[in-house]
Amino acid sequence: MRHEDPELDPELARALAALSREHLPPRELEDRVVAALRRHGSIAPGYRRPWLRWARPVAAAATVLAVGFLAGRWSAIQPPAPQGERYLLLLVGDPSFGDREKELRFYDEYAAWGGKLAAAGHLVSAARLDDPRPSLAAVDGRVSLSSEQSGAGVSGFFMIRARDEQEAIALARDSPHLEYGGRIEIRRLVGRP
Amino acid sequence: MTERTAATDQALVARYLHARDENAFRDLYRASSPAIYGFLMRLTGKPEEAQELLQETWVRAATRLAAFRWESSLTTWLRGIALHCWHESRRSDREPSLADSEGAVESAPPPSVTTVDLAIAVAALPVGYRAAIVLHDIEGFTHEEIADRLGIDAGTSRSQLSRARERLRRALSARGAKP
Repeated sequence: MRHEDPELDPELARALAALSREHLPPRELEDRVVAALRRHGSIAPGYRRPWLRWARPVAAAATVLAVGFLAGRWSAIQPPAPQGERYLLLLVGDPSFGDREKELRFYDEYAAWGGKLAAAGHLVSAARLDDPRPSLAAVDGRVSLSSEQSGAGVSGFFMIRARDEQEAIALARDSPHLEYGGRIEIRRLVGRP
Repeated sequence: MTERTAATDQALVARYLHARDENAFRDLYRASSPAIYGFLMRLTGKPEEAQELLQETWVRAATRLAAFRWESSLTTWLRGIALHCWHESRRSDREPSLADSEGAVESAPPPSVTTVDLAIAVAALPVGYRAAIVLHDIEGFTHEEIADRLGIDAGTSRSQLSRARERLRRALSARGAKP
């Protein structure tokens, strides 16, 4: 599409052409655009944002599945009272599927894993974390909003009870989150249970 | 940013059109918006205005995507919609657009920035001159394309561009920058 123009100095022409670059729009604009499209009927009404946010580098699917998709199943489970120390399984990373069939299989595998945790009395709670938001930080004695997001990449968590760290690791090892390329950080909760 | 191809864009659009899926739209938005937002930023010089126009662009594009025939790239098509939105906003706000810069030539003050690189100089141009430089010299629209999209003569586009370039050269020379 670029065309030569005898009136334009070649150096200036090159410099102007170099100005043609992309700009990332503000993050919050995306939500405004989605809301506008929903009002105009260009996004299906009653759509519930799924936990499959694979376009973002977070593993949101796991915890949304745990909370939303499995809620009906798990509510019917009458597990034994949780025993042991509490551990937080932080879901980090970006599972990848490659195709729809693999994606659906992920759902089923996650349902099975979460159900096992609940049935065995290990599951305390689980939740999806919303997209990272600005954080507060004190700089030179002044508290201000910071763009740094130390929790970036963490899309959700499972809180479980385990006898010890070894058992917590063993329980986390079976998570499909790992099979699909994600990472799980295991943190013991200290203090009163 | 991953490299996009026409096939990638077609897949993103098809996925969105399949069920008007929110996530699919977000993927499409993220892939295409940086180029369009950059274009609007250069055209308007104002982030807030560029954001409003980007939103309007997507609202219109979403209703027309099913009819898009892929005779151009998706980015080119979206940019055309963005340009139309910008042009409409100029007419509704009674602000000078490309064809109306005649009066702006005499009344616009010279750039007041102390350090003038090319991007600042372009951003400081009156809106009509800035549009001429952005559309033709930066974005690569032909005069015929500009005329068709903005409802002006190709000759008007040429004359506006000539004046815009002269203003830009003077701005750069005044700051000691080599034009």
